[in-house]
Amino acid sequence: MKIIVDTDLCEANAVCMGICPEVFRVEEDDTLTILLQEVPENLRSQIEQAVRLCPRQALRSEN
Amino acid sequence: MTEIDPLRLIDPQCYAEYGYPHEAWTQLRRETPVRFFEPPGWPSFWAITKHADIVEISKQPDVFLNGPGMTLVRERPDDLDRQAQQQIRTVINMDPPEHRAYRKIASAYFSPRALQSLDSLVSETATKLVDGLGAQGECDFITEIASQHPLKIIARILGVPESDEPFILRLTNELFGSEDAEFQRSEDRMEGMREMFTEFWSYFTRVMQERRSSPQDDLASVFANARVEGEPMGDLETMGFCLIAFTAGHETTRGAIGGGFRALIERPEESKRWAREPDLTPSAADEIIRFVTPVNHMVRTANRDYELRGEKIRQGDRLVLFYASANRDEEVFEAPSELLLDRRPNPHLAFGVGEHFCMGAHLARKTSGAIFRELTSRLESVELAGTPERVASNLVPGFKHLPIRYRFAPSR
Repeated sequence: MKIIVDTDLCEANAVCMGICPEVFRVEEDDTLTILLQEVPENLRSQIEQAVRLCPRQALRSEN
Repeated sequence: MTEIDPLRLIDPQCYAEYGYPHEAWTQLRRETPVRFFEPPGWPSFWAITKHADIVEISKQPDVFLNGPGMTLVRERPDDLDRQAQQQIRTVINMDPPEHRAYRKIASAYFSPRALQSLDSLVSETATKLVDGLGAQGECDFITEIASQHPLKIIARILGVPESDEPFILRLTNELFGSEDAEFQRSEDRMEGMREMFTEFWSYFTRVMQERRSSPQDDLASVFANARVEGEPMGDLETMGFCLIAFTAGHETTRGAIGGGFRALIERPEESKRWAREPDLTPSAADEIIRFVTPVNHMVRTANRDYELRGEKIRQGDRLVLFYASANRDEEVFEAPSELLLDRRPNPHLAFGVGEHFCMGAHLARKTSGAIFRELTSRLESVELAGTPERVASNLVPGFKHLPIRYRFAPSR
């Protein structure tokens, strides 16, 4: 599974980082880094939750 | 099946008298969650009451526009509300791509990281306000606490002197309470609104001029000196930012604090739990915001035909997104009518979602969290000392008066 960020929408609300810090990191300058290019299966439900709860709806996941 | 009176959903006087129409919304969600209404004296609209539908609509800002109007206003011969909405350009009534460019001017100032520096200001202001009430007595919780705390915080962020706070409060009351007799400045509503806008305009024109000649480290200076695509931001847009920040920036949080405290008065066990477990504050403040949902609705206009839950929305149709209904959606929230201070996750829509997600969301959580933590930790007893009264508004229908009798422990 891959994660795609719309950087034009992301405003560093950091909800994703709160749900899944293994994958999402909001940097000092409020940009978002995806830490794993391929997300392991055991994190799937957390990723889905992060995508769903992003306040700006800036995340997508692709298989 | 009871017939639903659409005026119950949109008439400001109904909100003043009966509060939020949760019974009607529950029925709509169950029977006709996407429902067209043509109320007399009001524009026709689709009532959108389900969480999933509001998310679906909000995720498509290119299909469902904010530009044609952001709230549902009565049809009037003077047409003043509509004119007023069109005269000042705010990020709330812009659509992408323009919206993105303007939003960036302010958004960086409201991220969780950017707001960390305000923590001590927010909690010290809360302590001082509660100290000001004394050990025991009676007061109007709204005028003494709920409107003061967010007002003082936003005033400091923007860089407005404390002596101007009463002026800003009065302007906000008139703007959001334009349907409420208590806040109308003159018998002639049109004249009153004109005066208000003139005052607003001249005050903020002066502030902007000052910040252009000598910029400070505050948000007013950011607005005054902002550039969009290399050009200085226009007057209408600059005034739009001032209007949102100075008014919407605290009126809404006042609603959350007032409505939340009322809910805690009715639930002393929850209040005691918050006192015992101050670490609950982030989830508890967010739950208060879901439970109250200070901003009741926003409007979108379809720019093409669209099918939603089998209903045919036509191009040009108005959709009213009832966030307060979505936040009680049984399909999303367990025990939606209960206040659960540890509710997690809490995917409420009180701040909207997507393109127009409230820029002040974290500030609102921080401000209301701090005041509730201060209140609950010091509260020995509280009860109503009179009848609570709501503002006559379909937009931010919070309490305008909440008389209480109280005893507080001294500051820690």
